[in-house]
Amino acid sequence: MSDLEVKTVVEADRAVVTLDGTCDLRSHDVLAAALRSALDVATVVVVDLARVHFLDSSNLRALVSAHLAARQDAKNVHVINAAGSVAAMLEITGVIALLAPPAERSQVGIPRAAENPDG
Amino acid sequence: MSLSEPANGGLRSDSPSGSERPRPLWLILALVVVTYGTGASLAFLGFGAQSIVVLFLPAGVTLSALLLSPRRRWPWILLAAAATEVAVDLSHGLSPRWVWGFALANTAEPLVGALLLRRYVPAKVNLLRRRDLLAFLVCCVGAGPVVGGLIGATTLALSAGLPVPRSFLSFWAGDAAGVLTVGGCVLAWRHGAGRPVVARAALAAGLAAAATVIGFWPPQVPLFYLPIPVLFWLAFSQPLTVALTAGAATTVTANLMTSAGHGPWAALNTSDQVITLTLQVFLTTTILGAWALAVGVAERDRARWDTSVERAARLRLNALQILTADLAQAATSTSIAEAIVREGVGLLADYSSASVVSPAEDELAVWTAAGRRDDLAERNRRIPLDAATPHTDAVRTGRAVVHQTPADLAAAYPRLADGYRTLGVGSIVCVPIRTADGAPLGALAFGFQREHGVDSDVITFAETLANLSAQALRRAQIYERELDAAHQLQQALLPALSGGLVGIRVSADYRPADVAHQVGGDWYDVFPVPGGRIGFAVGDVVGHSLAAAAAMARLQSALRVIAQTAPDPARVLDEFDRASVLIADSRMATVGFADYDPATGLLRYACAGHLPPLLVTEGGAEYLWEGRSLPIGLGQRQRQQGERLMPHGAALVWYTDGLVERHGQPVTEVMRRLADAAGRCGEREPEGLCRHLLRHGAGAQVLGDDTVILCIQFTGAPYPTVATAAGDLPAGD
Repeated sequence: MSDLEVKTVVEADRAVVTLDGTCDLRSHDVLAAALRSALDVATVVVVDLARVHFLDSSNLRALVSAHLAARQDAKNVHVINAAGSVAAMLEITGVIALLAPPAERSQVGIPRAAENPDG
Repeated sequence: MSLSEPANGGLRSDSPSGSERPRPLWLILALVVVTYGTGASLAFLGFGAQSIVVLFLPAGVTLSALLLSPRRRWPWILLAAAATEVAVDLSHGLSPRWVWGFALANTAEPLVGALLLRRYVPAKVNLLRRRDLLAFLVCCVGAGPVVGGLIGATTLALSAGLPVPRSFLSFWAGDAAGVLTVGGCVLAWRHGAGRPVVARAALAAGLAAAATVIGFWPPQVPLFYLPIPVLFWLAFSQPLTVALTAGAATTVTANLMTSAGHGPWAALNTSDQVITLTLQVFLTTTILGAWALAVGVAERDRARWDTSVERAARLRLNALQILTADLAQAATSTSIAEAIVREGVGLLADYSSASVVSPAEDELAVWTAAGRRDDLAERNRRIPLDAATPHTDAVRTGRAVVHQTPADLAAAYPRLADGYRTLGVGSIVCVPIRTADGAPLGALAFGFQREHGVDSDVITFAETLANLSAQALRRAQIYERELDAAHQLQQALLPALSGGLVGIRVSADYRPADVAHQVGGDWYDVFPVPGGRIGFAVGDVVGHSLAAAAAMARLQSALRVIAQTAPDPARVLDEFDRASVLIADSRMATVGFADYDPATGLLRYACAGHLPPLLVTEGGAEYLWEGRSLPIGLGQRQRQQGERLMPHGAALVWYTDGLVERHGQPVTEVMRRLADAAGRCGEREPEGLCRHLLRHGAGAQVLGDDTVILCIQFTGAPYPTVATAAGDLPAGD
């Protein structure tokens, strides 16, 4: 079973999807389905990653795919509160530029040596 | 009464006991004659013959004999009872003219009772079930003695001129009390389930008799109620047989005591008939009260039993649902076996294991779950198929292996006996996992600490699990074969590292993922680009198996073509991004591309969402974090690139996420460890570095995702190139 808990709260046209747990291969389908159904009812979907301690590339792709799909319908998917390894994952792949909230997006840009894990 | 058995009386409804092993007719008849004769004599001698109102125990003897025998024997039993009645009556000086009336009364009565009861309760009479008890009371205690009482009273009226109503009442009360005490007792003993409790019953009877003697001894102090708490306590705590035996002892003792002039009834200044009538009423009321209590207790126990059975069933159903969901996600034999021991088995048994037949069909891989799911101890053990174990036996024979006692187990598997003893295994069942056409796939074993823990429920559940597992395993085998084919294809699509590249030495490796995980289309490439430069690429395509492999092949050739015209890595990736629109399944692919000029030692690199290359020099290892941009197909414009002069002899390691993505570990942490490993290694010769880092990344396990690793050592222009030929690619050892 997936170790990911997904809670979606919809207010007006804004849905907040709160993830709690591990985003690995087993949770990929759960996440993709949650994002799809959130997009069905809201135009802005905010994914709260505060309680996610692991996010692998398949889940990252689920987030990006949802973002791209939303953009085609003039909707928006973005993430907030990414921390630790999840933030590193978003930054290494550069997709934080895509998934950051619209207000921050211009400042984020493409991370340039944002973090050197090498120390 | 313990919950481990559904109370005395059982929940089974078997055929009438007459059809079980019938005892010889002569024995039944002899028993009837002896007990009937004794009871009737007791009525005359012990309970006071002069009054007709006595406790007539033989009424219960005949009725019990009828109820416990097949109908063809009934005439003989009735004949024996009648003959005994006549003999006893004659011996006590009754007129031969009228004894036939009493004989008729005492045969018609049990016959009516037995016929009526059999009509409503055709199977075993469970005296702890309300319906059966009610039928017994109405038909045998009520209706039968009414008939007997009518005939008897008529006979008395004709012979002695006694008034019919009074004689009837007395006759009925005496016979009804006899049926209740003796008949109830015998039926409880013969139709009850569970262990016989002879010693306990004898003790209880003694206790009840003693309480009755004490209660009936002092003429002035009223203590006659003493047997009541004793009988109620027995009814509450003991099987019905014990309580009813004690009730019979109380009845007999109270009647004996009264006719011997003891107790409150003997002291009453009224007619004998009123005395004995009220005494029987008191006794039957007491016994019925205790009996009702026993029924209540039995119903409570049954309800609890039902609840616990229901609860166990619910837990199993829940486990099945979880397991079904898990099996749906489990793609490989390993993950299936793990899911079974994790979810399926803990709820069923104290110990359990699952085994899967190896592809070569010569051994079994066994996964063990010790105890409940929270202290799951999983380990993978291999045993040859010809070893003597429950698993191999079940697989070889295709049948369930059941051993219900430790002795049985030790005899069947002497070499495993010690292990079973240490664990405290009392009983086991092992069921084979087979395909629809009977081919063996593996086995499931369940162990219990108690002996005889394997009942039909357990076997049914185990077989259900085995069926579920069979379907999943079959699917996994097909999937594993397909995956294998996909991996081979992908391996074939990876480039042959051509020789003749001046200024670098290169080595690469590709490791397919553990088949439980998705397979991406990972690739690497090294090729010459104009201006004497060398271009190299590492990429990762999203998706599964064949589609991803195809996308990877197309992206790879597109990149080679574009790199021939675009001036630098950033422009290569820009054009590559545009070209990828035409390539299915390429969106979200990540690519790292670099070119190296051996003449100047300059490395230029750009990463489209790809992990940064790792530079390994004499001073250590560091990631190159410049030149980052979004993955392919996400609308990135004007990609960046980084530049770095490569010191002579430095090496560059470029890889895909399989090397640094570890479940539950921050990717930054794993990357740091990889850099440490590369820096400490000291080796910069590509082949050795490749091997070292793969070993560091994977350890002894298979990697969780497809992994590509490309190691390039920059030897600079003056050195001759020793490029690794295609055939020399280190194989996944």
